[in-house]
Amino acid sequence: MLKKLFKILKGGLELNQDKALKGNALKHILISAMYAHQQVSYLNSYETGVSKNLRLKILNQYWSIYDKDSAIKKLNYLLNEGYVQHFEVVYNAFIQRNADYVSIIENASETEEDLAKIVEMFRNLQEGYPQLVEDKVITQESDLQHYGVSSWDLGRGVYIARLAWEEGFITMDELKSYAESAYQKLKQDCNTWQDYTKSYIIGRAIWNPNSDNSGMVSIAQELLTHENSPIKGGGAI
Amino acid sequence: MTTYLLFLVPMLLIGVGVMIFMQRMQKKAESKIDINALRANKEQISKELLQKEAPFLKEWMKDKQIDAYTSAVLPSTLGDVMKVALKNTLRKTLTYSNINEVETPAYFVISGNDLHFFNTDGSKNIEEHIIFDAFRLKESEIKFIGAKKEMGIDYSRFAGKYQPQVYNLTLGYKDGVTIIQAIDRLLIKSVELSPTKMLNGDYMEDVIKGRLVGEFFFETLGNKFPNLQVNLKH
Repeated sequence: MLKKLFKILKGGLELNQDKALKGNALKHILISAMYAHQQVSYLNSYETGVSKNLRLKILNQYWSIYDKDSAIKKLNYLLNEGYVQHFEVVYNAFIQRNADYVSIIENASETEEDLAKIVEMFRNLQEGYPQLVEDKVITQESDLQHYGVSSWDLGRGVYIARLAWEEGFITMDELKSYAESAYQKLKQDCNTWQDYTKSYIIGRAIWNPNSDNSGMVSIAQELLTHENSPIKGGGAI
Repeated sequence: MTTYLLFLVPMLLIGVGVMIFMQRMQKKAESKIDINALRANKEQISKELLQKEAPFLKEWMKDKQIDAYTSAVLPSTLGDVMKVALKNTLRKTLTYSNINEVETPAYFVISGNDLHFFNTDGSKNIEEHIIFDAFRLKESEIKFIGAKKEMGIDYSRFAGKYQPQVYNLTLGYKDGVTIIQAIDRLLIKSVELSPTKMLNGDYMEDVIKGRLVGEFFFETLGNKFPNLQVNLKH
């Protein structure tokens, strides 16, 4: 914890000098940049560089991942379902909120679990939207649709996959395959690394509008502007 | 505590006196007004008072429509009042208005399927803005409580039907519930606390219009959410 605090105070980016990835492998792993930078982890390698204590805290406490099965289940959820699964319904309900958003949500919910999840996302978006505008992540409602929330799912997925590999829950081949699949999916929704950061922040606001999202804006800013950042300039993914 | 009572007791007595005086004046003025004619036009009156007495609500709601609105209050106890009074006594700044700071102006606004609650700091600055969506409202409850208390005291015995009535709305909030009181009228402070305006013939019409704003609010709420229907007591 002290080491992490010191690194945060010191500022800058964590870059692995010894095992730095290049080319496509680097691009694949950079999807985890937002989460990695938040956790003061390496941006440019499979290794995260975080302590075992922190790794287990994230895997066990935050994600309920204790073994290979639970890791694969969670990673597949983030790759194939996640927040993206319901985002279109939530967005449509949000922009129609003066009309009958109730039927939009109810018609799209096949189960009680779906309904509860969509309503929660809808409420969080209503609550978090003003802050997203204030933080200049977006300027209008249609930006939500433009950026989507893919990188919130996929970015967390790749970072969790890196931790799961370090902990021995998945193999290197599984990690590489997962990161490549996530990258291909992300490219369908985000054209640039700047879009990637916005998509991540929007997703996080829908996860918890009361969390420190302005802090995530600073993280995105640093990733897009730091001279040593692999995604400096926020250009094409 | 003694200092506090020295200030509070005369103020309460003055309050009772004002209430009795107001009730007499209101009865006299009300007899000259065709309330049913006004009632038939309450939606229009609601819009009219929105412009005249509560334009800040339009600003707070930004681009969202305002279907109906009324005054609201977070429940307070005599204990809350005493805490504020004690704090200001210690600062030697005790006045009627800062005793009343425990209860700052608050409003409910119905917009589409949502109920917005605004609490202010007393200077038209929003301290709290909560949106209760249709899913929460469908599971909410409403209950008649009685006359609105002033500084924790029930003046209804003296003010009669002119004392605003309150309803407890039990609303889902975060992982639990919260109770906020909806008032059966728009409280127009500038009118209600001005003895000069009380003597003016327009005063009573404004008060009745304020009540009709509340009536339209509860009617709209009940139409949208049958579980929140009430029979108004005024």
